[in-house]
Amino acid sequence: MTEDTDRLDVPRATVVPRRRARISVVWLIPILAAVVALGIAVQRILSEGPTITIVFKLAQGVEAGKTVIKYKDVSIGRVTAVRLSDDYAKVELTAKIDKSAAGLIVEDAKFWVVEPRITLSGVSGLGTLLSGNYIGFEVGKSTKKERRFTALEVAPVITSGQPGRQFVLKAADLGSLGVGSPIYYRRLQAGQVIAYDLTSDGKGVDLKIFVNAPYDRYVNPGTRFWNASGLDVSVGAGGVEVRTESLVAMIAGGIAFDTPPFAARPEPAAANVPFTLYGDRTTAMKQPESIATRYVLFFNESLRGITTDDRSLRVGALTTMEELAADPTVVQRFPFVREALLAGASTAADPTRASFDAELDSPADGQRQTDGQRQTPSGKWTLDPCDAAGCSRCSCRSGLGAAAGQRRRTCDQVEQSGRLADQRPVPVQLGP
Amino acid sequence: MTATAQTAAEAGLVSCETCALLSRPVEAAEPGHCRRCGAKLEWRRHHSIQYTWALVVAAAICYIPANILPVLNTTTLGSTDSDTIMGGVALLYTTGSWPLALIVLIASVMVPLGKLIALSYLLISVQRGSIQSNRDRTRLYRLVEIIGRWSMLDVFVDTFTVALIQLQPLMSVEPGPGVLFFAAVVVLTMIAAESFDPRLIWDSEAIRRFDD
Repeated sequence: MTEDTDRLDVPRATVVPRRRARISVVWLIPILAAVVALGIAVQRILSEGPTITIVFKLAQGVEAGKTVIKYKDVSIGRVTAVRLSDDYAKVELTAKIDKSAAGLIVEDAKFWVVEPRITLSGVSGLGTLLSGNYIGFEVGKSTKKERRFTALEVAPVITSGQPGRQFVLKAADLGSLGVGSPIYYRRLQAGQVIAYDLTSDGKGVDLKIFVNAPYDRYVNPGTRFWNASGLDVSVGAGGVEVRTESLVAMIAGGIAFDTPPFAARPEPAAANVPFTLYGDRTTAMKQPESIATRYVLFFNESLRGITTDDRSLRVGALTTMEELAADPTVVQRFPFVREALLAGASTAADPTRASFDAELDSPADGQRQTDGQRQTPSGKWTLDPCDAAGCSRCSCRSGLGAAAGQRRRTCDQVEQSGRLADQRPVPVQLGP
Repeated sequence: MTATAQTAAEAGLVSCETCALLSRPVEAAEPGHCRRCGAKLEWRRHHSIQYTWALVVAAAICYIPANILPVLNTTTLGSTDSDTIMGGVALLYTTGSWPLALIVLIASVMVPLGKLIALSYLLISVQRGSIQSNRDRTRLYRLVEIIGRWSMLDVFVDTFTVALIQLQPLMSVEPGPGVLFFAAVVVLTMIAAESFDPRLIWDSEAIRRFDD
């Protein structure tokens, strides 16, 4: 082709590149990129676990983006945001839970901050010294999903999977016990105190304990628990006896349990059954407690010298002071009751409002009458069970009161009068 | 260089892209091979605009996960931190090393984005037959070609860190999926810049001249 003849045509044909060419395979590259990117996006969305909110009273050492949530020491999520609640009273954490752990986030799941703890009975959470505090998690039993939780203030002592059983101990006071105090069975550590709370009427303390398997099967309905804190020193004719469960129990407090042979039952106690926590081993293991019946005693003369643990009666011990003198029927008919209480019930905080129960150790029904007629240092008294006809509630089937010819009241009446709402009361009235 | 300058194609000649020798084509459809270096002669790069567009689009798609996904997973004493590119910039800035933050910001965020925008602009202007500021556009193209490889800095630092910091169990660094996409962005934009034919910038002018 020569320059001068074709000059006008050739450039035109070559200058314009072939734009309307078929779609080039090069477009596979952006398609591939899009597919991969979308795939990752979809995978991310699908693997996205639930976002939950946990309300803490105090979120010590918790950092957004750093603090993890651990279950069985495995990370199952991470705190994404920490902020104050709307009323500035609490801390709200937002956490992202891994997809794999989403099924664990149910209604009664528990969260708490794990921090290093050094107590007399041990050191825990040492790992947090290096990695910082984390949030402990304990799975619940519910199947209902939940996205908002209130955290526990302290870590639960027992994890849900742990074999064993929980019992309730009723104590007069907490003593030196606390959460985590050990429970001993034959000086082996068999469990822990997991919680304690004042009873609703404020007159005692309920301790929740957890006895690990296999020790839990040695807890039967006849088992006694006693406070094993400190040293139990008794001086007697046989010399000085010192008892302690362990050094830890001596310093940090502890509870021991055992079953006296006479009270042993073959079947293990059901979980959450309440037991009394005795002050020491001797009290706990003594025989008669198991068949004690509670009586109310009305005295017609001064009970000088009677204290709440007067053993001279031999039939039992005075245990509690109740509001009795406030009952008008009692005061009217027995004007000396108040005086007797004033004189005898020196432990009552307010003598004008005091009364008392006596706990009689009655090994058998037939023995009661004998006991009742026994001379005591403070005078004569008789027993009058609530219902001679056989009240099923107080087990006084012998009809003791009928002969005395006195006004009798049933258990229900006693309860209605508000004097003895709990226990199984048997009012004992002393005729003049 | 004025707007009146003739292009080689206008003159019926074709330049070798490898050794820049101006040759007379064997025929218009098949210009043949360079007499000097033997490279295949082309009037304009084959499917230049379509190729470039495809690569630019692919790079743009990859740019999103490159910035969203973490490029580094740092494990310190059991707790893992994931850093995205912007997260790293923010971290460097807040820890006081703002010059470093600026370098990473420029090399890893602005340069790839700038390349994508520049290439798109060049492609659109060529497709629309623009004759405005041809020289500037050519300069822009050269710039894109030159700085392209420098974005690999980020990938380089990433691989370096991963290789160096393996102090199990105290600390270890793993590459995140973001770095793959980031490398893809850099590579794709480099190929895109390569497949764009800068001679197209001048062709619109030649066509107009011809039409006149």
